[in-house]
Amino acid sequence: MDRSTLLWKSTLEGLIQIGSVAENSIDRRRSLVYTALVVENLLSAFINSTLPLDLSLEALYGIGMVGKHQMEQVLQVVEEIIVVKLLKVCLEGEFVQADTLISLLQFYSGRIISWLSDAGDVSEVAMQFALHIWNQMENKNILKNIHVMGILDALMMTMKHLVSVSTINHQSVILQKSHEIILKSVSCPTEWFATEWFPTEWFATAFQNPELLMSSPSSSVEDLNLISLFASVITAVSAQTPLPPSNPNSSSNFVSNLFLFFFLRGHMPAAQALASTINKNPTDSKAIESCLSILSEDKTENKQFFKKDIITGFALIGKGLVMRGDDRSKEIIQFLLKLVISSQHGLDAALSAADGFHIIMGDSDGCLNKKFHAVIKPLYKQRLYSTLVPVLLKSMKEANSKEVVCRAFGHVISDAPLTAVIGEAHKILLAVAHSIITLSTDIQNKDVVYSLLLVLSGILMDSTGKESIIENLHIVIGVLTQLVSYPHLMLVRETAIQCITSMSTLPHSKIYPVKPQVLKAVTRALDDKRRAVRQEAVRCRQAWSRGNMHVRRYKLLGRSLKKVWTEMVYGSWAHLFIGFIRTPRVFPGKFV
Amino acid sequence: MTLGLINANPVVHERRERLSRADDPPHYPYPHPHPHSHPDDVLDALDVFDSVRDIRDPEHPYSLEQLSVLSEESITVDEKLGRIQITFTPTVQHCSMATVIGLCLRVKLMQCFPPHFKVDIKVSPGSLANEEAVNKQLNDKERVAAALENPNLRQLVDECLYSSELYSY
Repeated sequence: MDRSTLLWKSTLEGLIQIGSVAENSIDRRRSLVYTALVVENLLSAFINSTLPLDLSLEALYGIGMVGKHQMEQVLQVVEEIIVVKLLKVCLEGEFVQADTLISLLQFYSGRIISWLSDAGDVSEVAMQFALHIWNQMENKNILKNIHVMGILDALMMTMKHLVSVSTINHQSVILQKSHEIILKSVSCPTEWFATEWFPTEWFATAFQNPELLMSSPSSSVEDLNLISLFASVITAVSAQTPLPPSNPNSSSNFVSNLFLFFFLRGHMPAAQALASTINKNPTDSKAIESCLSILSEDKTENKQFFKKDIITGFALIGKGLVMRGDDRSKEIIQFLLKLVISSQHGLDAALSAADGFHIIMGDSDGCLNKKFHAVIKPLYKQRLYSTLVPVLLKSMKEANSKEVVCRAFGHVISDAPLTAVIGEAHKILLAVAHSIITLSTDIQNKDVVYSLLLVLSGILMDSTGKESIIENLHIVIGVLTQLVSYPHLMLVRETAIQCITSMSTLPHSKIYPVKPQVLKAVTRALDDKRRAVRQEAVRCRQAWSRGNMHVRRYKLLGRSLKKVWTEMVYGSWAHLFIGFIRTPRVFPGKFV
Repeated sequence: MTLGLINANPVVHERRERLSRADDPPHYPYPHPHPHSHPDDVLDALDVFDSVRDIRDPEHPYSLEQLSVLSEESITVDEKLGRIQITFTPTVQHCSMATVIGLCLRVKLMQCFPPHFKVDIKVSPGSLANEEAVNKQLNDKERVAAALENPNLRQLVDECLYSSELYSY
């Protein structure tokens, strides 16, 4: 950090401290003076863009943290700037400002709203801003350009945050407004979805013939953008909020039918919203039932169906069901397993299905998490883990494409809670080693390899896990020494060497036979192109060379002195060593 | 036979501030833009200096850096040719610890760098009386190997190298 940045940061820290003292003092005038002098000056500097953006955002957040009142002032100004920039980018076409807008949106939702919701109730403010954004969406010109350069993604995340911190009543208001705009603006016939006699047979046929689905009715870019924004609202509502339409005469399946339609066209936000709805309010939607029954009967021979988007969407729906503890999730899990093990529909479909397991078992920031009010049954991951692992272990030997099965297995193991995995370490250790070896050939698998290596290191750190490692020491060392020269990811090499270093503490009788192999691999790593890997290699080599011996420090035995006298052949070395012995040691009290 | 310390009153300098390398933040799970080349990680003099600066002087509980025996400027590294050249400055003209210090440097560099690197260790010109003889001794592989076979010398070298693990100044 250079001097000026350090100075700036220290000054900011000082101002924040002054602010918190002023805020906490009994005399209200101090707080008013601080607000007038510091807060308002900073806000006007921000509006006039005198500071670079990242610095001014940091300053605003710091000053805002002084108190709720100050943060609300910051919030207001940031909201105004966001709207101004949005209009500039989308209406006037100044796309250079898109990055600024995205940073502002992320700052607003990720930091200000989160801080305020922790500090107290921010629901009213959040709802007003959400409604304000929806009002802008009535303008077709804005809608047309909003997906440019990632603005829509940032806006969707902001909307999710705003909805998630609102109360149920406020969420209903936002839902109502968005529903009105959807009905008014979307070009495809939305009344289709709302009526009770929605043609479920149409859906069943369309499910098997995606061309039919894609051809009619058509949807424009503005439609898709609106659907995405609506999807972000639905993703974040609480389970208790009633979904539109609130009219008791029309079907309550409007939302799920709408999103099912767009999901089958490959629209990912719709899939997320559908999964969230199923997770929170699984109404008996006949359309969904028919889709699931088609899946389980395996009537779909159409290759077009097995596209990545569709499979990923089904994985999301499966996740929603699994988190809830619903039995219908079994059909989706079976579907994914069949794709992975038999890979009859092509390698791409099998790989997408393997990644589907990552979606189901893993945690996501975008949907189906605690922040966005998902319904979560405790220990759902452990249950799914104990169901999936025996099947995957068995199929690793029998499957057509071993790499895909290993990839699925890798995802399941690395996303499962570590305690569950360590408890069964003796069963899965060999499979983990085999998976790492199989997957390390292809660069696409580098993330899975790294996650599996982290699991292996977790097993190593645990005392029961260590025992199973000692039983299979040769195999584990073989895997680790191979990973020391893994070319695709530096972190894998570094972690592998760290694991080897920690294995030097295992019982000497076990590690002694593998020492030459380890030292050879680690010496090669001394030449690695990355510094971190070289440093780890040095540590590892030292640990393995010195072994369990404790360096005897300062043990100057009397008889060794005589030995030195007789070793005059070493000339000058011994000559000075004598001087060394005779001198009193200056190191504080370490005579042994 | 020498009695007493070679240099009873060494001049001790301040430790220079350790520059931490600007490490990349962990890129996982996003792919690194340059998976096969990282120009900042090329071996340079600072790497070599970081590995040797904490070696203890045989006589005093200070590091070689603090006694100004070594500095970053005295190290040259040529990665393509695989050569490291270190020049160190003993604190007094008649220091007979120079050979021990040289031996410690050699052992440390042998441990920290791959075996194909050629390491040349010399005393700085004009800093020692028997400079030529010491230089010859320090760069003679057989004499170094023989010295390291001596368990007492080995122990002395170990103390100089690893006593930094006991203290943290």
